Amino acid sequence: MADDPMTDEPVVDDTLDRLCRRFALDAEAARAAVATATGPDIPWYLRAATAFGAWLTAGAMLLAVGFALAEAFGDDRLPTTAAAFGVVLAIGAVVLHRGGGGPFASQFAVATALAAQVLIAGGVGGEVESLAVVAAVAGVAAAVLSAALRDPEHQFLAAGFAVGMVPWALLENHVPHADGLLVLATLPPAVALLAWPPARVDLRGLAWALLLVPLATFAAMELFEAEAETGRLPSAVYAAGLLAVLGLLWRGTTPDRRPLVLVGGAVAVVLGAVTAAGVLGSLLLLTLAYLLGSRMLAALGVVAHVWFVWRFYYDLELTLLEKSGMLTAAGLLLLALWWAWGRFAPKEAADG
Amino acid sequence: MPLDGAALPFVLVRAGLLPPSRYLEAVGVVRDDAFWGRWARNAVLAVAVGQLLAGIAFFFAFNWAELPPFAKLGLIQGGIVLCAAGAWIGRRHQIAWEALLTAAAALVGVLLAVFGQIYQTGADAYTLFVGWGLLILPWVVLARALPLWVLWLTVAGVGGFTYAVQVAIPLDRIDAETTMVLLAAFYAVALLARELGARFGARFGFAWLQPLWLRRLLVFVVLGLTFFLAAPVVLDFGFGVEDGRLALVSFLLATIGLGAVYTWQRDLPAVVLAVLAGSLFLCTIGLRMAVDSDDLVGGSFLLLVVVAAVFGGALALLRRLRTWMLAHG
Repeated sequence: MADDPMTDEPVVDDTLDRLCRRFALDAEAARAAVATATGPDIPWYLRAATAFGAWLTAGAMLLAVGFALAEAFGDDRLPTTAAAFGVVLAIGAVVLHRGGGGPFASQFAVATALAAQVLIAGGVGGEVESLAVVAAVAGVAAAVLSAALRDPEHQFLAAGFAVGMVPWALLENHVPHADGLLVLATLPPAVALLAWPPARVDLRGLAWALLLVPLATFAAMELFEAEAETGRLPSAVYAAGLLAVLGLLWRGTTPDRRPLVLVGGAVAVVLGAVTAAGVLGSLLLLTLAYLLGSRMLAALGVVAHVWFVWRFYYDLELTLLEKSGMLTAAGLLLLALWWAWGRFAPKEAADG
Repeated sequence: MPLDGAALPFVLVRAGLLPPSRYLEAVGVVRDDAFWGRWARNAVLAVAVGQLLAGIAFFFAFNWAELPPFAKLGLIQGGIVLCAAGAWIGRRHQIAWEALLTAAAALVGVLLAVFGQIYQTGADAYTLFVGWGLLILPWVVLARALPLWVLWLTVAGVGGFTYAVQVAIPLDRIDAETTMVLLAAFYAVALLARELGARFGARFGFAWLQPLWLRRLLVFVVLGLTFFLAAPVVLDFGFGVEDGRLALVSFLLATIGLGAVYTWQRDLPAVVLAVLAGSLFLCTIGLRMAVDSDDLVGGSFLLLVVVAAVFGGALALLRRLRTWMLAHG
């Protein structure tokens, strides 16, 4: 069973009981809510295989219909045709998703809706030849399709595409500090949505997109050597975000652990301040992962951290000896933190 | 899908039972603090050690050109001794044992590479991999560590492949198709050995072979190698494959054989890999038919029908197999 955990119902039952006692919740209502939220019991690898097949099928459909439209309307009216085709696809995706045809149909609808959003935004933006219009239309299409589909995965992908277009639109218009402005606009709502999720609508996909896409954009801009005017603004915003998350952690932690939060936070901010904004961003992901108990965020934080640290030292115009000194100093600082953690932190087992 | 503990507060917020302002407090109640405490501490240690090792590597890289050959080789050999000694000291901790022995085995490859750099003889690259594989084989056999076996299987496979490319194929002793089939067969034999060891070897001290990730990794490698040999045959791309019958037979044998064996063994992830490989192969045939139709629009619609039918059928098959496996324990 450890290999293929089909269910963890006893753990959920126990946790639910603890929550009901602590927050004086109606146990029956809580159980009913959990039963409603619990979807079909499908292992992750089967879901991945389903998604792979559905996305491949959606790709083949786009290819087929795209060729047919290109032959029917020619190259001259390609942007308009693409946008119109996108609208038709969007309607089809919503109908299919709401039809409740199972995981394959659901994934196929998500892929189709995303393709529709790209076609609509690309078509309208291509007509006026403006990336700002592409970003704006992508945002509107994301909002409309997300409201219609109500699928967290689609919401993440659609919002991610719209957010991902913003820095390129800013760069096209030579807006200074494009990357910093993007982080400034996206990080506060992302943290707020993750820490205080609204009850009326499920905005997890949007929150994750707002949190992750700017970091991915940093990596993409660096890889494609886009001429972003990187100043200290992204680092400052990520440092402020990190302090805010540490503040939330401080508030929720026991007094005996607070010095550790303080020292850990200070080390993270100092390390981030002397390195790159992406490093601070990855440390923010790791801290948020702990705050929210999210293993997915923790895994992404580790990958982002390794990536940005590697890119930072790779890009620095310093000698290998200077980089060696910086890395060794950072390593020793972290090692001291690790030692202090083991020496002064209360024993985990005693906390339950 | 089933909920894990950390998802519960969100469900309660969405149901209107818990106010959003108390969401983080609820996460704090359900969070496994023991796990996260260990995780965070291990993460800090891993990052610290990673940065220190990178700092040391950068230091030697800075001074590398000035170091005499004796010092270069001595440094790497020192690293091998330190890793092996560390593994012995931490032998009671499985992770330390496996990680340090694998690091020592990897350093043997670095040593051979640096040796070849200092004393350039013009030898082919395969000698590095073959020598590396032979040198570490004794401790791979004795260590009983899966990561070490994975490293050895990789080095041996690359060694055999580079030998074929640099020596055997140019001398017409073997062709590219047979080389790839033999490589896949090598990993298939490794898979068979793993299965026999895990099934019958527990009483002889082979219980360490039981983790299923090695099985699935080897299934993936065998299917991947045979698929990337068979797909170009279908698409008529060549890639040095002249006949193609051996490639097609090996792929079909691998896919059907592994799919059947692991259905019998009730290992659904391995069966999923086989079914996906078979589905992709059928889609490749659909692509070939679409290209051969000489009609861009008609061909692309034909491809759509094939892809939808193949994956629709494959997923229906997997659902049935899962139901059957659950029903049969």
